[in-house]
Amino acid sequence: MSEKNVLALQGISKSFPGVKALKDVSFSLAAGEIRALVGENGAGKSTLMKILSGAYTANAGTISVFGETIEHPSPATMIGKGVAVIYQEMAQAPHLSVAENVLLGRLPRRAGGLVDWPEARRQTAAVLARLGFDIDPRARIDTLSVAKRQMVEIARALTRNARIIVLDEPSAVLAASEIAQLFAIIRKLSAEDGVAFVYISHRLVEVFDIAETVTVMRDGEVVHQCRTDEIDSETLIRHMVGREVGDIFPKRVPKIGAEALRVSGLSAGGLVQDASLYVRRGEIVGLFGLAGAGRTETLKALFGADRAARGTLTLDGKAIHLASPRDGLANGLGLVPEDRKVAGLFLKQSVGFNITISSMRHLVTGPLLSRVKENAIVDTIIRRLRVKTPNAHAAVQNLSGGNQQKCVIGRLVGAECSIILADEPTRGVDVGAKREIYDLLFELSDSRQLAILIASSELPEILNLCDRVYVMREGRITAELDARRTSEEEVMRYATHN
Amino acid sequence: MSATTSSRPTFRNLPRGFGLIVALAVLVVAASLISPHFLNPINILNVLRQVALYGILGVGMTFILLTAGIDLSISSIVGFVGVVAATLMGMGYPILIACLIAVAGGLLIGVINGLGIVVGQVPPFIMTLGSMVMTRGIALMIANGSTVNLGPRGDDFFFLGGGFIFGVPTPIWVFALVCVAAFVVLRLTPFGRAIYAVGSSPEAARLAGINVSLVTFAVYLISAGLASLSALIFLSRLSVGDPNSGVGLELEAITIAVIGGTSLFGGEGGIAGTIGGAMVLAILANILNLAGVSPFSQQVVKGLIIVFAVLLEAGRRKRA
Repeated sequence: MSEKNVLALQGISKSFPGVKALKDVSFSLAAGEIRALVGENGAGKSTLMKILSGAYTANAGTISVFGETIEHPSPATMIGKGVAVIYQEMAQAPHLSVAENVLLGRLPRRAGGLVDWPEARRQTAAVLARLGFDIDPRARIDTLSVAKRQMVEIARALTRNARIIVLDEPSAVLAASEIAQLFAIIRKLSAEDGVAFVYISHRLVEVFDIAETVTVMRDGEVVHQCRTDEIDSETLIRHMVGREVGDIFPKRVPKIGAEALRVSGLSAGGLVQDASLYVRRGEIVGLFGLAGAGRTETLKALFGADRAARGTLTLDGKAIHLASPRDGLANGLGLVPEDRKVAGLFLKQSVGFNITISSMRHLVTGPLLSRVKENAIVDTIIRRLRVKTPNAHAAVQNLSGGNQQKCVIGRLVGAECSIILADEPTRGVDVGAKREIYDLLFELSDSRQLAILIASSELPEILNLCDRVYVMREGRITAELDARRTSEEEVMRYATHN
Repeated sequence: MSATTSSRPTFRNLPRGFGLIVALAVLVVAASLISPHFLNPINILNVLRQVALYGILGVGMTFILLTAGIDLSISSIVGFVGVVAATLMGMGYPILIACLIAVAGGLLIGVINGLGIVVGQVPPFIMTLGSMVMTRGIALMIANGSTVNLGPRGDDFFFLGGGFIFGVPTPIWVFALVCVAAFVVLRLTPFGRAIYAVGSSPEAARLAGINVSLVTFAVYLISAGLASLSALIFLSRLSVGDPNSGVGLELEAITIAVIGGTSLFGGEGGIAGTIGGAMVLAILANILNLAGVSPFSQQVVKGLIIVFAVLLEAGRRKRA
């Protein structure tokens, strides 16, 4: 362990009942270093982060910060030592202001113990200005975009004098311009203040863009560490998945059939205005837009989940009005929601429960659910969609992100949906599982002539997966493009102001 | 990639039922050591009758808690339905008619709860707190603040709460039927699944095509219905309509469900646990009675038990 290391992990191991989550993990971080941590979901990155934050205690191994071995790591000691972990699901008080969140637990006091609000706002404004963020310290957290909430988290880490900042997939929820802003801040803090970063991401482009060094984890072990200029993305992917993935995006020739869905003059969610689009059978259509462009609102409205939505919807040539998601499902529509953990899954329930909840009418004999029919459907879907689970009774929350998403898609397959509306279907999903989800969507589109509409903010995904692309900006559809003829630049031009 | 469906118990689901069974066993052994009367068949039947009386309310509360709701009004429904039935019987109405009208009155409270929560979007705690106070007031108005005599009908009606079928008290049979029905509904019907879904995540349930409003409405109706049923059993046993009967029973029902492992946050739990929870409470009360502990001290013990049960539950979650 060299002297200049601000952080050193030595031989960290961690077991959970029945699972060895981490095996002899070691890595170090020098002052000002930006290290990417990559690996498939379930590789052990989150467990490692929780050990770093003090949330979990390792079964073996040592953590040293600035050369000092931390004997009994707890969240409080790790924060005290200058380690800040910013999770993807941010731990914020949504009803409190930005200033309160930034200074949570350390609000400045006046004599008498009352909070000194002007001083709190001044301190918050100062740190936000230093980071170059334009956020009102008085704004309530739940009125901010996800991107801005992330900025607030970074500001909070800085006011706590964090020297080591761990970012867990920060870009998953950010638009391109925001990612650029985030990277600028990371570089600035690293260069000027010597803050070291661990940057966890699934997007390899970003890893090469921001990180100097990279650590690859697989199955709870560190399988490769090197400088990012010594490796290419093909090799990196090979280390991550332990096999050749080839091109992440499968190739196919679409067999396009009749029009399945058409909407015209759609307005929804107080954001979408006069949107018109159509999707044909066997076709995969992309809906691209930056955060806040109205992708999610459009999909929800098409599914019947937005009562206030206005517009004309035709399904298979017939005009129809959907009053609820139930109506949507009954008419063959299926939604893969953006927020998998809250809106997509029943986390407390089993894999089988999650798969069959929308198709219970197929599972009854008389008034009662038939175990035989249920097991048959669940087993078929688990096998066809290659859901990795010990069995159908396992809790869905113990599955990796990719396998959880397969359960959501499996539910729609079980409910015999013929039009799938997928909102960011691969968010928070690792490279290998992404490929599996793409394969799955292609297979469903080809074999069952499903019509698929995918909303995404990932350009490579949109361009490589889809046959046709709609671009949205500020609630309006600004372009309809042939995915094979367009370019990232052209799509981006329609998605942004110029 | 195994797609097997072996139902091997996991670390997560073993301790839940296991702890309850251990607790019951310990209580039974302790009770028989403390008092030789405990294992006396007459005492056992008494304990089981207690289990039945409170257990029916516990089953209703289980439905409610599974949707992450709460129903405080059941205690007042017990008083209200009892007074209505007693008044009608006293006026000479046939037992069946009097009971049906009284139960309809109880269900009406459930409808009001359901509408307030589903249509009015009033939080369940506030809505049922309001209807609890209101319903108790109506019961007191009907009974004019005093008790109501059943009249000559009372002798026949006593069978429901005080009678025996094959040597077993009637309320135990009623409770057994309620449990079987509730178990089947929760475990084997689409409606039961929908209850767990709504309690796990209302938004996911809505997007999965479940009629969240209807399910929510239905559980408050079920809760009110079971409260009405237990009202009739209480009335039958007491042989007099008391507008103040049932006070505090809503907490008893919540305790039973929670000790039985049903989560206050919805989506987790079930009827088997609730039966166990009812038994734990009834045996505990019996031990304390047999040991001559004053009713006041008993309340202290019961309070500690609730906290202890929830602590155990919290510990289980942390480990999981």
